[in-house]
Amino acid sequence: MPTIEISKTDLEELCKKKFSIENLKELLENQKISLENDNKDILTLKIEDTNRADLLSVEGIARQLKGTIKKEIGIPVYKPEKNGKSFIVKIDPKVSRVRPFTACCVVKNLKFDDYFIQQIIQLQEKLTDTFGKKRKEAAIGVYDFDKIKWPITYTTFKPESLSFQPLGTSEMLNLKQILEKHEKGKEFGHLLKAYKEYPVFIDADKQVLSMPPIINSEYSGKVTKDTKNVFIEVSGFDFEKVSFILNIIASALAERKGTIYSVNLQGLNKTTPEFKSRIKKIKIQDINSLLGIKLTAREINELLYKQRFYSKQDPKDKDLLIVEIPFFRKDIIHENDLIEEIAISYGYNNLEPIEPKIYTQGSILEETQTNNDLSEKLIGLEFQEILSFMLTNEKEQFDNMALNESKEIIKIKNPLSETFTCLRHSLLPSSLKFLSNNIDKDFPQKIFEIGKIVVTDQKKENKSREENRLCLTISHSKANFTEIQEILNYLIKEKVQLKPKDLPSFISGRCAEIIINKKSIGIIGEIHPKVLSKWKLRMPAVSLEINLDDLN
Amino acid sequence: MEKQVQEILENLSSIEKKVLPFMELKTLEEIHEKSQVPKANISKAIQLFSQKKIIDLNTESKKIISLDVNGIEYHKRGLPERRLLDILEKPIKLDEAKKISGLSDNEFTIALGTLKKKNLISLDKGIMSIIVSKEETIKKFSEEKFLELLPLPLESLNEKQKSIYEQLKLRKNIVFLNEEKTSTFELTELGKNILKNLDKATDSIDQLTPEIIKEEKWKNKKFRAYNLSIESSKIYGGKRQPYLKFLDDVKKELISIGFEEAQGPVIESNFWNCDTLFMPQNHPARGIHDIYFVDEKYGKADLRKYLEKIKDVGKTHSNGWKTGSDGWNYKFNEEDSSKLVLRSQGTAVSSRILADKQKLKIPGKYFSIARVFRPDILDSSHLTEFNQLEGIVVSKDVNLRHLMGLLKLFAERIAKSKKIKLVPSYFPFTEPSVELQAYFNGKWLELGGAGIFRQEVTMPLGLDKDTRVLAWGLGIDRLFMIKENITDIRELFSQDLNFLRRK
Repeated sequence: MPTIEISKTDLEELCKKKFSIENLKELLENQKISLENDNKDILTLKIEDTNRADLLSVEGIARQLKGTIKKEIGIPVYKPEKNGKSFIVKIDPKVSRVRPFTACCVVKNLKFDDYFIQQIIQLQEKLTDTFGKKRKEAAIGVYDFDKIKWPITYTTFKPESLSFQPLGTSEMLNLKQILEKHEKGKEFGHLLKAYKEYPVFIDADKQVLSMPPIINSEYSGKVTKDTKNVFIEVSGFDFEKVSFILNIIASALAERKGTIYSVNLQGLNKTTPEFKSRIKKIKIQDINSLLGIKLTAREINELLYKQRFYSKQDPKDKDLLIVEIPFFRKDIIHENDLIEEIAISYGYNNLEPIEPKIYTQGSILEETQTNNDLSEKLIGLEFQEILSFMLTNEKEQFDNMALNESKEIIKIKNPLSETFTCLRHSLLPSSLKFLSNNIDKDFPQKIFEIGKIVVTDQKKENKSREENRLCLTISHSKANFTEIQEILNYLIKEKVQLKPKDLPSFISGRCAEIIINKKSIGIIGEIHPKVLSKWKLRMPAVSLEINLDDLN
Repeated sequence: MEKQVQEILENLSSIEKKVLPFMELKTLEEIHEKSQVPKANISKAIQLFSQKKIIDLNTESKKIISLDVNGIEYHKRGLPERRLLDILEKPIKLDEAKKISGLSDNEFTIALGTLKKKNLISLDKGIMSIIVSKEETIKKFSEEKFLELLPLPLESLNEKQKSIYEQLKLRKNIVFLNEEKTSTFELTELGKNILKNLDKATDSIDQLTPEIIKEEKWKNKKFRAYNLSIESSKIYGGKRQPYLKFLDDVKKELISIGFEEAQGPVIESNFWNCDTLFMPQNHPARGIHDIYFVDEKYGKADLRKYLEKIKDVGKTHSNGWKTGSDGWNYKFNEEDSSKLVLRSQGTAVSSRILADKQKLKIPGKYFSIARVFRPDILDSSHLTEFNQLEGIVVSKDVNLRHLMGLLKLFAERIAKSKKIKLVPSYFPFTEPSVELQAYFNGKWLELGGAGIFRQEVTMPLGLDKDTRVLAWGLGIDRLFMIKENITDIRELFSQDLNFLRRK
């Protein structure tokens, strides 16, 4: 979830209203924005809805809130000045092989200060990080308009054939050197390295603007307090995406009273920005049915206006609403998205909760029942229940148990630490690990765990099988086989047969397979001292582990 | 006979009577040899004698240094530094030396450091060589000499030994300090007096036995009075793990309001874990930072059973299919659907329930407590695996207000909170979405998330357009922590036996 920082004073100026912090918190919460701090002018906001590109700037948030407080409702009008003749970006067909699309605009009459520059950089970063997939799918450049000689050309150059001074440095570097030496070149260079030529924006005086998606030039790609007018470009692989992102930035600047000028993209045959709305039709009845209320068309229209939509009854069908969705609400993809907007505008807390009267029979899983019955018995025998992680590592599952690694173990492709690299194939190591964390506690220690283990199984849909298991362990100075055998016989009603078995984790001759109805359901035995010392245990221990799925 | 002597004589236990005649001897061992009474009983009797002032007891505790588990192993196989030195016939590369010596990483590092410190070897460009004479290398290390002397009382160490001990203590499980208690005792005047009159001790009853009852032997006899001020030893009853017990109580509440328990596998495919939940395949929460992927050597999920569903889910992602949605406008990749992951959200169980036409009841209510996994480093507020409680209500006759009613009910029944707040929220698979907040100790707390499943979720799984699914999840971990006043989430999986015994 993206987090942004904005100034409360600035937000209030944009909304033309002062807010108490409680009031602001609630207003924001209703737009799925949570306020993380509330004691400073700089507010940290978390935008919960990751699809809301339009809320990644203070200007966008102000636009939304102005609707709620009825300072300004419906779809805002941003009219770009048509200026086809002077603002032309020529698109060289060569870019189609590298980074084919761009969308551009010019914004004039802006007043930059440190805070505003910060805000533009923040919006740029948030948009490229999330919607631009870390510049891969969309990168943004902002330039000082007054240093540019029009027209601009978007073209490509061979890596060693062009040099310019990248932003924040003092030396001329060619394109290849930038990828090798410049900090941003190193960070994003992988996005270009595969190509023979790199994309470049260059003006009529052959001054380089930038090499997208890497770095702007020091000359024109720098916005300062003296900047008044800017040129903005977004480059990427999908025209719809880059023009959407351009629209988000351009409209944010328009909220700051900048004058937007459109740019003619020669070669793409397009003019940007284009602030075009979409239409969705929705039945009034569907709205009321989903929300469980009775609203009239007029009431719904008003609610939608407040959320910055526009809507009207269909002249041909009065049960149908025609809703106009502004260009910045790309997240609206289904009529239910609109119904939620209506609910938000109506206020969730104005919807009276009703208890659903659906009568169904409640039940727990048979497995839960078995587990609970078993736990109860074991508690009667003074066993302490424990709970451990299913994630573990090979050392605990095998090395510490004197076992060779089993092919059945399921490993993780992207472990984060050496502690959690695979899923447990047995509960016994978790049991011994627990004891090893408690060598200083009073003995006898009698513990049990009921839980799942996972092993591979190529026949299954998900290539794995889970078993519901019980493991119990007794440890004290005289713990022995007889003691645990008594418990086994107490727990299991059927006739139990013990078949001697040699397993490295147990003392030979004191370990057996537990057989019921000719089926092996688990193991029982005295833990081998070499295993005890691997776990740093100083007391004898006896254990049993059985597969409860086999017990029924 | 003095009254005091008489009283003591009357109340001697049978063991005391057996041991007392030998109390003129000097040590527990001697008493044991002569009396043949088990040592544990003798020491118990000695304790009692001391309490009754029959003897003067002086207990001295001595701290004894003994070999720990690694120490015992080294005693047999040699210290790591000895084993490393032994293979250094000629200069050898570090990694080779490590391989031949068979030492663990940790042991090798220590061995290397020790040998260098003792100026026995040199290390140059990854090559180790001995820099002293052969005789020098055979000489026993001071550590080895010391270990051979163990066990030793701590106080008997000289300065040199002390520093060796301090060094060895820093290494893993070589030595440990054991407290040994030795006692000396001497009969008091009272004791001597009692001993003299021992033959006059009446035959009082110690342990009441079936025989005594049957044959009425107790008649005309005295029962020995116990010393009731002695503290008993501690015992611990068996207990359920507190967090699991809590989850069980929650289950009971849910069953009482008509919910049926369900479960699903912890190893899931992307298909069930994400695709069916309308999370686009390039969604940031589907990457390696948010999901554990299963090693690819186990292959991919076998989804042949669901071919039709995959097609419909794919179309829904791409263009909305017949759900009325615009979709996410990208090319759906069926290969990606079959990648195996550790389940990262409990909602995966809900999609499996909805897809199972044979079992699904409409109307129906289901819930599951699912173990889920996320690549997070453990700290006081993060676990890498935890439980999620999620549920659904499937019906044609429910709306957002019913969902809110349900959340209110949960707050009352499960969280025992009457004051709630419902605020808009975002989940990829629900619209509208709600967050449930409840008022606790003067603060609003996030209790859970809920919403109505998107038609992009329900329709490809086989539900018709007007069947609604209310979906909800409750933050049970947080709830338990508040209830039990726990601030560290790791305590849900507590490894502390005392904590569990106490709870």
